[in-house]
Amino acid sequence: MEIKDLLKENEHRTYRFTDGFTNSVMERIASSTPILVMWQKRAIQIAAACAILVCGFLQTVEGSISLDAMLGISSYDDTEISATENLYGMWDQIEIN
Amino acid sequence: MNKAEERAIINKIVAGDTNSYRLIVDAHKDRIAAVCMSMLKNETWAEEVGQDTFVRLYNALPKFKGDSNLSTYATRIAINLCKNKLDSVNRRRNRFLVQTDSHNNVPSNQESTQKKLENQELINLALDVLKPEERSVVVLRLMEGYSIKETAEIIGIKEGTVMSKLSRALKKMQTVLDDLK
Repeated sequence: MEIKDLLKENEHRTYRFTDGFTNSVMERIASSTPILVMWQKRAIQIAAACAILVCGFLQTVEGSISLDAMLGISSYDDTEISATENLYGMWDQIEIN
Repeated sequence: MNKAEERAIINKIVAGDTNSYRLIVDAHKDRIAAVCMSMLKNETWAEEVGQDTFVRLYNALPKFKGDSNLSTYATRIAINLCKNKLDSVNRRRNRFLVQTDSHNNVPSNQESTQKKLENQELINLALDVLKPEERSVVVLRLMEGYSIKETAEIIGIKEGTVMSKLSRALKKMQTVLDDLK
């Protein structure tokens, strides 16, 4: 007896799941969906709370909630800083003299 | 259901219409049933793995780009779950056999049972000697009629590997049949 012939004879045998199969799948999906949605909502709430905390912190410490403040970049550029340094340097010189 | 209709239903499901998923399950459940039953040869396990397949498919729908056929995609999930099931069953069976080996004095009555075996039972006996991946190749290619290319795509191996696994599996199965003679 050849296995190939046996398999050929039994090709495409029809099997069916039980009648309630689709309903069982839908019930399992319905029971898992609210948990996912709940966690999505919770994640959004946590993200929103974090954003409010960061804004409050920036307003208190930096006095601004601009992008520069968020990134920790000074609102003064290099030219302004060096000009201020020069000015203080000149005053120090005048005071010394 | 054609591909465009299927895509429209998938879009509805992804948008939140969970109930439309019923159409997808109904359209593909017979094919998945055939694959699971041929792989597992146990109705309870097949039903269990079939349900897991459709739950996983549902969760994967938002990521489904439509590059492959949904049926192929579902079959791939089913085959992987069947292989996992067979692995866990084999592990448990091996543990049991090791424990009960010394008490195994039941005589082999293959000769008397051979006459009673139907063709399907012979196939099941022969399938039993195959590793899960070899079994999946035989089931998809020879029992479910997928092409070599589709079989390779579903299992995630090269077409050449499908052919070599198939020939090795058939030799093993033939040996089982010859031993029963």
